Amino acid sequence: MNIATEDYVQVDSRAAEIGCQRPTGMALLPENFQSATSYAELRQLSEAATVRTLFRTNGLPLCDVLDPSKPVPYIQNNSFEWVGPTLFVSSALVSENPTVVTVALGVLANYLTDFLKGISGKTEVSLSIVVEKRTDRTCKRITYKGNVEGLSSLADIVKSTSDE
Amino acid sequence: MSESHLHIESFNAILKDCQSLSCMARDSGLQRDACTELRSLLARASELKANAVAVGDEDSANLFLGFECAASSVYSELRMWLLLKEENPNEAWSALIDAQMAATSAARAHRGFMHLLHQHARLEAIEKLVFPPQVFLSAGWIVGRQECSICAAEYGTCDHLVGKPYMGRLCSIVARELQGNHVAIVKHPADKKCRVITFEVEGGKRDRMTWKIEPANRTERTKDTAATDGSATSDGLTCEVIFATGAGNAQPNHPNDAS
Repeated sequence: MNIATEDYVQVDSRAAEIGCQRPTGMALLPENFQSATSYAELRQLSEAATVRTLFRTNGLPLCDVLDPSKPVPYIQNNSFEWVGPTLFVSSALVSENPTVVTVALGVLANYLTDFLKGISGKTEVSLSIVVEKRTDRTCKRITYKGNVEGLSSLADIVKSTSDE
Repeated sequence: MSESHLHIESFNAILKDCQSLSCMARDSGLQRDACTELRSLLARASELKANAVAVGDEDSANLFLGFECAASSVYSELRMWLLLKEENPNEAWSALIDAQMAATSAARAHRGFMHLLHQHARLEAIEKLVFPPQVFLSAGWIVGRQECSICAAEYGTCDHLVGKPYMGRLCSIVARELQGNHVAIVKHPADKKCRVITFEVEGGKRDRMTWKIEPANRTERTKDTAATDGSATSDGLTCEVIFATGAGNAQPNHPNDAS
């Protein structure tokens, strides 16, 4: 299991810069959200659509960062491991509903346990979570790579990062 | 005992018998007979699946999908051994990968096939012990639209999820408006059929599987012709590869479709 934390662009201002909607709760960020020079350049991971369905069907609200009338192409990387999209968690969400991240990670882990059924050997998943800090609204990205069971450990890291 | 249980018992017995023939040393004639038996099992499982779908019995539909996949896995493994005995390792490799994918699909199709995890582990061991190491490729695509294979809606707007069974079918993403983005050499590809099959050496092309050198075809560009037309090639940099253009989790090959 490998967990790394690094600085990330301030999501609120970056969203405004490239014509995205500002997320107020939990959202999925396009893969090149930090580097795209315009909305037209944005790309999202194929698995973002799966996560959107999972959260919607489990009553977990996701904010729209992308304009539904302007579809953003998907990137499909046909690799063996499951690579999830970048999840954004606002500081307000962590304060008001601290359990939502735990629930979201649980929903994701349940799906992935089924998805990886029947595959023997080492099965890894990757997921990034961008957390907005409560104090100054700057952001940090937590990147996880490891087995499905380890995903649950991210909830505490999200909470402590938000409180930094 | 219900009719459905009788079918299940009969299918399990056939699968067990056929699996006992899944090794190199078994007689080829018996292995071919087993392939015929598995084709017939598959046809019966498909028929029972259709009946279950007709009455809206999703659990039974998924169970018979599981039998289709399990039969497909054993069939593909038997084909692999037969092809190896016929000195056709490239086709045998494809059959092995079909067998692995079908074992995974069976476990996803219905909880009753979780034991196929052992079958998958066995097939992975065969891959490493019987075949030489391969160079795998992974293709990256930019996809304009992702369609759900179950309901044809934009994937992500319906409630279906990739890899889950729905009324006897596994959900997958149908990629639309594809644009190639990159090809990468990877250790663990999604599809192990995407691999380097030959590479250029002095005097022709070496088959990565057999290690034999096939002389360069007259119609193919050689280093000499490349030199005269001004383009550049160098030893070992030209190769032939197979890579997939699909996405998501494809249904396993139907044994009746196998050549």
